[in-house]
Amino acid sequence: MHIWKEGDRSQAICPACERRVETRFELRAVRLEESGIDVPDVLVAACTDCGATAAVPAQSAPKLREARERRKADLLESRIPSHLDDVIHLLSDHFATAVAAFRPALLRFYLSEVASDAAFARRVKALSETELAGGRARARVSLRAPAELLAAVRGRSREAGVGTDAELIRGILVAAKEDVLEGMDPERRVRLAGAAQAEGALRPAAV
Amino acid sequence: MGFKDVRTLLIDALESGRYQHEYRKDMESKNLLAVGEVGPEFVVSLLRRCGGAQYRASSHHFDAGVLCHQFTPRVDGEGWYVKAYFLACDAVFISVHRS
Repeated sequence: MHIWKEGDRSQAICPACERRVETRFELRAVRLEESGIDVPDVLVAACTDCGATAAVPAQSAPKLREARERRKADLLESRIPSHLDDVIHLLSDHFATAVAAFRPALLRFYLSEVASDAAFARRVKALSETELAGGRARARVSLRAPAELLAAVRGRSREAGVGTDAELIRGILVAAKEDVLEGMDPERRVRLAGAAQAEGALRPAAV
Repeated sequence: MGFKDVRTLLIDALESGRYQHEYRKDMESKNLLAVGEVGPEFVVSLLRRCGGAQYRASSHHFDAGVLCHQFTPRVDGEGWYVKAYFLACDAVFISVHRS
C-alpha cells in the first residue's frame, strides 16, 4: 500500500479556493463535523495557497474510524469501597489472570448479565443494599463499554430499583463474590472463566 | 477513457492505496470510505458489480477540466453511489455512500 509522509506533495481541488491547487501533506486535527469529533494528528493534504485541508489520504481512514468508534463507547465510572476492589483482586487470582485485563472483562460480563436477566438485576439490587456493599468509597472503577450495552443495563437496573451506577457496581461485585468465590452459581462461573481465559488466564480455575 | 478503463484504474488505485479523499464537512455520511466505515475491498466489489449503464461522467463543479466518474451499483438490493476523479496520478474520492 502506498504511504504518504509529512512533507510529500500532491495536488487536490481545494474546497476553499475552489480550484486545482498544489498540496503538502501535514499532520492536523481533523474535525468530523457531523459527530463533532476532533481527531488529532491526522495526515492531510493542505492547500499550499490558503492552508485549508483539501484532501485526506487513504492511510488516514483507520485513524478516523478509530476515533468514531471510541465515541460510540460510553463511560461507566464509579467509586467503590476498598474491600470490593479486593474482591476484584480475589476473582482475578481465582481465575489466574491479571487484574488490569480481567477487571473490565468481569464488569462487562456482569453488565451483560444484568441487561439480559431481570431476575438477576433484582438480585443485584438486593445485594447492593447488603452490609458488604457498604463502606467508604475509596477505590475508583472506570469502564468503557458500548453505549447500547450501558443504555440496556441502566434501563434494566432502574426497573429493578437500582438508583445509580455506584449501586449497580457494588451489587455486581457482591454477586460475583457469591457466584464464584462461594460457588453459588457454577454455570455463571464457568462462563466467566471463559471471559477470563480470553483475557489471558493461564489455566482454568479449580472447580 | 471509457467505462471499463476508468473502472480498472479506480480498482488499481484502491488496491495499491494510491487514492485520497476530497475533504468535505459531511464526510461521515457522504464518504464512508474516507472514515473507514467501508474498506477499499468493499468499494472494489461495488465497482465490479457495475455495468456500463450504471456509469456516467461529468465535469467537476470547481474545475471543468477534471472529469468526475460516477457509479451507481446495486448490492443486495441496496443502491450505492461512488464518485471519484483522477488527479496527479492518484484517484480522489468525493462520495461513497448508499443512494
